[in-house]
Amino acid sequence: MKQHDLSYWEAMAERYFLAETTEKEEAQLRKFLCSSEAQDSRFDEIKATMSYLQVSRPKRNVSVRLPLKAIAVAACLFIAMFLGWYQYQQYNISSVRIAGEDTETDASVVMQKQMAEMFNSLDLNDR
Amino acid sequence: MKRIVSIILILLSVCIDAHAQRGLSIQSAFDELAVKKNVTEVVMGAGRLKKYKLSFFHSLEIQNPSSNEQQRIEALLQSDAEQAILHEEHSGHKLYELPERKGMHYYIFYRCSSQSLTLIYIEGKASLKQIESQFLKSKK
Repeated sequence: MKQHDLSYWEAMAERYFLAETTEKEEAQLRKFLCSSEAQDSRFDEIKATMSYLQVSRPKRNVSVRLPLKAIAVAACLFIAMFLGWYQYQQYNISSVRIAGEDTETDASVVMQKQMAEMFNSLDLNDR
Repeated sequence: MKRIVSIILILLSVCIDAHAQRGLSIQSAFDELAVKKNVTEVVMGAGRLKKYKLSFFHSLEIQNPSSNEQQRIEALLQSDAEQAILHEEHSGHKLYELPERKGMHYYIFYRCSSQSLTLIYIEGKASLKQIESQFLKSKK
């Protein structure tokens, strides 16, 4: 940035208040106000005005909240569907695994054999 | 957002609790031994057990069990036996009935010989007599 004396910036600040500055000049002024040269009390008013306008500018990220909420609801629905599917699988499960590997064997046949063996040996008649 | 996270956590906890075999010690036996070469595991859900009035069947059958496997299962069984309301034992066969909860009955069967070891966990609304008559009838 080209070096200017303080009177140049003071004049530009006055033109800023009169709305006579261009966008390029305002950007230069903003840059200058952040530098150590602008510590002078003559620039306090322009600093306060520019910083207020910067802070009170409408936030663009307000709309970001909506997609986040939508994503959370979608995730919740997805998990609920997954749990429903998982419960359905548990309800209808019928498997025979040998060494952890699924087989084609009919689980009800194995179950009946195992249970019959158990009851044949346990004497429950006296109960 | 907090409400959504709470809903997700509740749904997950319901799901995890569904078939945890009521936090029994023998669950460890099913987890540890089911993948072994000489082991057959059978799992059946309520949909397939309606005619027996049962809601869950889980068994483990070990061919030629090692003494380690036998000891491990018997130790876990002993731990669960402490809460049993009924205990029947006959020539290497054991039956435990656990306390009823909300009309549901819980049973553990165990049989061990040198050739094979069988551990069965059952839950459902059927009484022991009803289960016995169902399975002895189905064998005839």
